Amino acid sequence: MSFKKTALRGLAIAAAGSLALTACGSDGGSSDGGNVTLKFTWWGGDERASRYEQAIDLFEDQNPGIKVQTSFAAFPDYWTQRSTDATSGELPDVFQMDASRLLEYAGSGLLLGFDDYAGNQLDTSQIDAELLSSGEANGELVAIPTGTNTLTLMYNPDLIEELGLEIPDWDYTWDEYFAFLSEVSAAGADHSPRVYGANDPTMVWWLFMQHLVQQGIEPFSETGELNFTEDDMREFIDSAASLRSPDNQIFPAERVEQLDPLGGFTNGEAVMEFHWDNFIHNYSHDLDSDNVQLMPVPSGADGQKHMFFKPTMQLSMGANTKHPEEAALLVDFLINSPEAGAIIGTDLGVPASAERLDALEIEPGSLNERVIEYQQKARDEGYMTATVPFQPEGFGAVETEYVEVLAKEFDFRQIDTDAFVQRWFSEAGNHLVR
Amino acid sequence: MSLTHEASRESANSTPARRPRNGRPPRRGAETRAGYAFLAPWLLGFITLTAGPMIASLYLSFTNFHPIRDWGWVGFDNFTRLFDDPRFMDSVQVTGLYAVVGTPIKLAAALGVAMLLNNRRRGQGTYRSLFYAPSLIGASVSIAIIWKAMFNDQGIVDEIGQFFGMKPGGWVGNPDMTLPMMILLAVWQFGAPMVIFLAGLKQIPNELYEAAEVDGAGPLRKFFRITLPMLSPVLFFNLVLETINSFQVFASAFIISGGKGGPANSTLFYTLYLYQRGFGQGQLGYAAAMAWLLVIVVGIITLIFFKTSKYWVHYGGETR
Repeated sequence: MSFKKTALRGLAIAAAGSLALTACGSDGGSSDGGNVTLKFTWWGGDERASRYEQAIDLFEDQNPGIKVQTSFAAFPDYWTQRSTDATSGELPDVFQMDASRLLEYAGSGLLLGFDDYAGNQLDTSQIDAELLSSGEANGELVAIPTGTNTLTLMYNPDLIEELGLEIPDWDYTWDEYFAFLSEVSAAGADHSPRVYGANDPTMVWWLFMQHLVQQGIEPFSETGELNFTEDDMREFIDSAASLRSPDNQIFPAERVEQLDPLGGFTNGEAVMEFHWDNFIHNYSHDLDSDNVQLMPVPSGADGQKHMFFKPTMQLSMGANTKHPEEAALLVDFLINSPEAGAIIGTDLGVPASAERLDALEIEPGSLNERVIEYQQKARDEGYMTATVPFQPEGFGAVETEYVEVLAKEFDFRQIDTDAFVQRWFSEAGNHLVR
Repeated sequence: MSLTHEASRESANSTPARRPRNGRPPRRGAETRAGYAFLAPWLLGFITLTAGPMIASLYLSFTNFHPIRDWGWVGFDNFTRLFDDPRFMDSVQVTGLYAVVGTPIKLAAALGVAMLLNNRRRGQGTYRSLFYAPSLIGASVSIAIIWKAMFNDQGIVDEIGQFFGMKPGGWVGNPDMTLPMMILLAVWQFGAPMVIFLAGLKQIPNELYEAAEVDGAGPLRKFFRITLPMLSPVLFFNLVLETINSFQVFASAFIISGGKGGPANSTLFYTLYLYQRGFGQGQLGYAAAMAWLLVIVVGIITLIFFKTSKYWVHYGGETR
């Protein structure tokens, strides 16, 4: 073959290749021969992914013209990816949204409103009106809540029994909780591997929110002003000081790094951990035990718990979607379809859709039953007295600063309470939009 | 010798040199056009993928650019904020330590192995490939993951350490040990400078060593009086290159710390922090300012290397 021929062939291949690339670039979510491809992403672990994948398969079977391309990531990475998407105007057609980011995305016109589709492709009549309004921004419905969750103390009864201890009373206080952590730490010292009570509860952002609510403080105003002071935060962090010194009775930070991506609780080395109640599925899967039980949060100074329901993962459509109708159809399926509900269970919280909740067959003793019963019991005993704290623009960023940045340095004892508080307030000035 | 031989034969046989080979007069314009045509793909890439983004990032470094929110001009705010930021200082310290400690060790390892491999012996090619292999695969994600597993609790390094009486628990969760671990990972990838050193060693005339031996010089003396001075241009090249590289370390730190720079900021490399600020927190203006500061600092360090090089870098045929 002559040189000229080779060169021509090379050029032809290169040209074809670049054409194919451009085609990919512009064709990402559009049709090929009457078919529509939707992009759908969420945050979560393997357990949630397998549930979503099963539900999506079913959706594709029922809607032959629509293909769904899925992807997922852990919570912090997920938001990194979405903000990159937003910069390039390529948000997924449907993606999981969180109340902590909702105003930021909606305020910049990055979300497509559901108003044109509600009542057509999407049935919102099954969702409680107040819960549905949590997905509104500037009077427009831009996110559909999938369910509700609330804070809980997850515990491992088998491990507690193994240590010869008894869990605190259901109606316990913060002091009783801290005393119990000390007991576990003492009893677990000779256990192999060494067992601790829990992570440092004051390093959990949402427990700080819960603490403020118990003090009668609504953390943020609707204009993004802080309703709490440096002293409030300092006092909360110092409330666990006796657990840190002279002896460390908190699950050690070094071990957290070694176990990553598992945690102390999910590796069977800590007996309890605060989280949202729907995480029981993920935690039970990681711990490889069905025996994970739920307790309410400790009571505040007035003996009341002042707990609140939080709308869990919401579903939103990117404003750049080329197939809003199909996207709305997918949201409808994930929210309302009883079959999807059977697959997803309470992994996304207790289902928002009444129809789906009714259709959910709850096996006795199952994780689903435990979550629903826990919420019911908390409601019956009058624990749910507060509304979810308002989450202004920048809420997600200040939460990240608290749990991802400062808590890590604090857990390794590199900064003290004063430095923690001072740095959080200084960063909050950069993140919150006022 | 064969070259001059052939050249002389050609000059004897061919027509005068001025005349083009195919007999036609040269077409200057066409040649220039062809030159530009061949240059075009690179030029296009340079303008759209390098120069353009650089100018844009310089502009953005003076704004509070955010992918989602409104943004505007803030002047030098980003640059002044940097110096009040404790995590920025942490990242400078981590990166500085990594460069200052890691680079000399890596170069020493590369030179040492290059000298061992310089002597002719059986299986020489195999040895060279084996020592070079880590550099080929070293930057990959899989190696960073394996590295993490090796140095984690109950990993092989931990087991060996315990055998020698070290405290168990691995290096990964210990903020004092993660930077040494990262330096080891970098040093292990000494293949690229090693190959360059090997090439340099081959250039040193054997006569010098023979002469030194006749004068009774020992191995140490030969190394410091002949090998090092003769290698100084190569050493200079490697030093500049590796220093710049070490300021830009990202992938391994990102994988090993899960993108967080942990534990407790001990692997918060400059580029990792830049990434966190830019893409994690959406403060792209701030990140752009960090990037430009890095360009300036690396530029200054390189300049210092070049300025001081005349005192220690010797080129062949140079007279002082």
